[in-house]
Amino acid sequence: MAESKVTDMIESNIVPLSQLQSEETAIIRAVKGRGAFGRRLSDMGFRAGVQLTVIKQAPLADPVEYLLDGCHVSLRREEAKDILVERLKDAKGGLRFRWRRRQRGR
Amino acid sequence: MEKKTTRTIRIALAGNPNSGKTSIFNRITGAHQKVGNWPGVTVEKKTGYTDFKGYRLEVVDLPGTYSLTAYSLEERIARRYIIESKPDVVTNVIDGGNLARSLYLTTQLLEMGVDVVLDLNMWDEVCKSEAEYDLQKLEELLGAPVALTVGHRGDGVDSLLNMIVELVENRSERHRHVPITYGSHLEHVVKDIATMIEKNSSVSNHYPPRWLAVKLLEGDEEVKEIFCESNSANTELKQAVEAAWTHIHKTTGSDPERVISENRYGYIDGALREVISERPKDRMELSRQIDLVLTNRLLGYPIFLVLMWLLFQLTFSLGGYPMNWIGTGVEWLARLGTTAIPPGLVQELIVDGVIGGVGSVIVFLPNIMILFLGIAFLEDTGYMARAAFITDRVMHFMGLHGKSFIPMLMGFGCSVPAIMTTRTLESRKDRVLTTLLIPLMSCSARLPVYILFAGVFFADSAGNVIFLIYLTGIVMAFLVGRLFRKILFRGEVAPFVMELPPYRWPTLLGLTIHMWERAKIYLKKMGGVILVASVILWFLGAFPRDLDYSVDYDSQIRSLERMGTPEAGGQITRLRAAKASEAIEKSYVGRLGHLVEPLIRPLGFNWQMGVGLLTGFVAKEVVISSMGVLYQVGEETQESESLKEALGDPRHGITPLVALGFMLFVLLYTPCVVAAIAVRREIGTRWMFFSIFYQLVLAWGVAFLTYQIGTVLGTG
Repeated sequence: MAESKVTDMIESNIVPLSQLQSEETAIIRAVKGRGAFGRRLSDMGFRAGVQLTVIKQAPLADPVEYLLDGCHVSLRREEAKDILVERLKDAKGGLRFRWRRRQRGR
Repeated sequence: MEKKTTRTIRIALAGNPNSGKTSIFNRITGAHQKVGNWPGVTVEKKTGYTDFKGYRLEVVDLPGTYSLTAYSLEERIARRYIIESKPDVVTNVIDGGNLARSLYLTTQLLEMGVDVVLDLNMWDEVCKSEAEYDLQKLEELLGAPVALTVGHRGDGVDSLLNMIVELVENRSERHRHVPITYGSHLEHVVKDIATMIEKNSSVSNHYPPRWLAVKLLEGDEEVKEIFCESNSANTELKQAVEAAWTHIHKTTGSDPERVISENRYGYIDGALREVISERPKDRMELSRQIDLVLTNRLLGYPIFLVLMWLLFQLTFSLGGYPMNWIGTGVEWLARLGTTAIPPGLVQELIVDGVIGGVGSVIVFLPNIMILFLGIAFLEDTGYMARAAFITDRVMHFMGLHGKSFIPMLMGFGCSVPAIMTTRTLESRKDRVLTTLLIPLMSCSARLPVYILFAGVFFADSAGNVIFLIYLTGIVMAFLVGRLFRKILFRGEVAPFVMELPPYRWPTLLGLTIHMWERAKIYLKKMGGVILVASVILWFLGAFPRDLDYSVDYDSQIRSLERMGTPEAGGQITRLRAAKASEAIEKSYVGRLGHLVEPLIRPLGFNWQMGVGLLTGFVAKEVVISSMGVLYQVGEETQESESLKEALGDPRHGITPLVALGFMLFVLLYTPCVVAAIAVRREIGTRWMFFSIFYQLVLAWGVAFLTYQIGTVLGTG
């Protein structure tokens, strides 16, 4: 696989945290918020390089519960937009993952 | 080793929320606790002491925080205490199952140059999760002794205290200062700036230079102020910090604040790689199973509503029984006072002022105790966070937080305990806003007023009208909440990052301490003020004494009494009612009622309604009884038909439209003096006055619009 193709794939895999679906796992690549906002996120463990899993949405779809560092944390969708993550294949395999991504295609 | 003279060791407890800090505090201090506020702010400060091996250990429970920045009030309080009051030992309580995030706070504590004892709490859960830690390595890497405790059982607390004593006696070999080092980009910059600060002895004698250096690079507003004085040293320092800032920004591409935080985590991750040989298994497994039901998309809300219904019923229906007993007891006391003390000023002061005032304080006590027992239960089990999780969407709409839901809901029962529950909110902004909005939830004491007025003026649709009033309160809370969030609490909003802790079984000790604490605060800190306020309100109603009555009631009554005929009896009752009515009209309250008449005219209210609203500051039930007196139906007959007839009497000029406006006014203005004192206790005196003021403006505005629009539409 050519190198440029690999980077393309990685880049296309980087999405805002708010776009992940339940049970998806991802690695945080960047936290965009500045000042008090960004600081509070990093104080709670949202930092580049850490792995997280989407547990579930609240009954009204917002906020969303995440698992990171063995800890369950909830975050509103509009706030999760500021966190960029790289999707990992979920446990059920890459094929399903790709299919799901195309389905959502946002 | 034991000394005869008692020496005091000052201990500060620091740690994340949900680390079990409070249970450790309870275990150490037992019954010797005091709850107050941190100076100048209404954030709770818990202190306590215990005697241990010849030492008096004084413990301060710092607010639970994840970090020590200048961004939140709680964090500023915690670090200010550590820096300024210089406790002998800071005990960092850590959730043993979650080292990575907990140590983030620890590194910041170590950076402050204080002596830290690490307390890995909830150790039983760590054992169960089959994790393996190399504790010796952890002690070595952080230079702090490590204790293991199980807070809810009290295991290990003695050895924790032993460790603290050892540390103070300088016997601890495990304690040494280990600098938290940053990556190469940062380290030399931090060192350079720290060296510069060290030269300035007036600063470096008070604060650890390295900590200041890191904080300056982070752009910490509070620390910058230390160096605000303009002299050559400070200017030089400022330039150095700015240069370093640009340098870091250029080389790393992000803010130093971010870089520092990442480096801190890097340091922790590195340390944990050596410490943890076996990661803990997911201890949330059971919690996740429970959450499949409790925060389920379909079942989440029904279960939540049932639990809330239960809490509400327990607090206000079950609590209603002891409330009635207290009420009967107070009445009995009042009767005793009336017979025992000769009629006159002293009797009225004691019976109406003091006994009435004390009665109005203690009558809420059962509610408060039951509600706080329930709240403590929800909180300690971990359900409170789930309730916030599922209601956040709705509450966010009015600029609030999911955790505001329960206090607001309890507001439908009684504002006083509801306002006291805002303590469960972590951020002060949320606490202030929630406290300001709670009184708009129609409390149960207002219901009798609605029932009376709606019954008289909207006979058939009374139920709908009352429902409409409750709804208006909720809608107003939404509107006012959004408005206040926009004007009063502008600026950066902290993100709603909330931990959903594992479900745990609460301890009886924890629950009872929590309940007693609230009851004590209510009686001690609020009781006195409420009593004074009640006496003042009584005074306004009972004075001046030497009234010029338009008719000489007393002599007429006496002569009728001499006649003793059946008709005379009826006449006497009427005369007495007329006298009482005139007395209140000519009292200060009555004069105030006349005084405010021009203000309430545009609402269609008469002065009697004005007096009713004024006396309603005591409690909303009083609105009815004082209007009963004014309409000469007598206080005793307030439940009877005569007041309804008097109100409905066209001569008094109360139309259904005016009645509707009046009910809305009662809904929207200050619930009672006790609630106002509760607001003061929670968020301060200035906010209390603001709360009274905005509610009066709102009540007036809504009643005004109702009356004016209604009149124009011709429904009056």
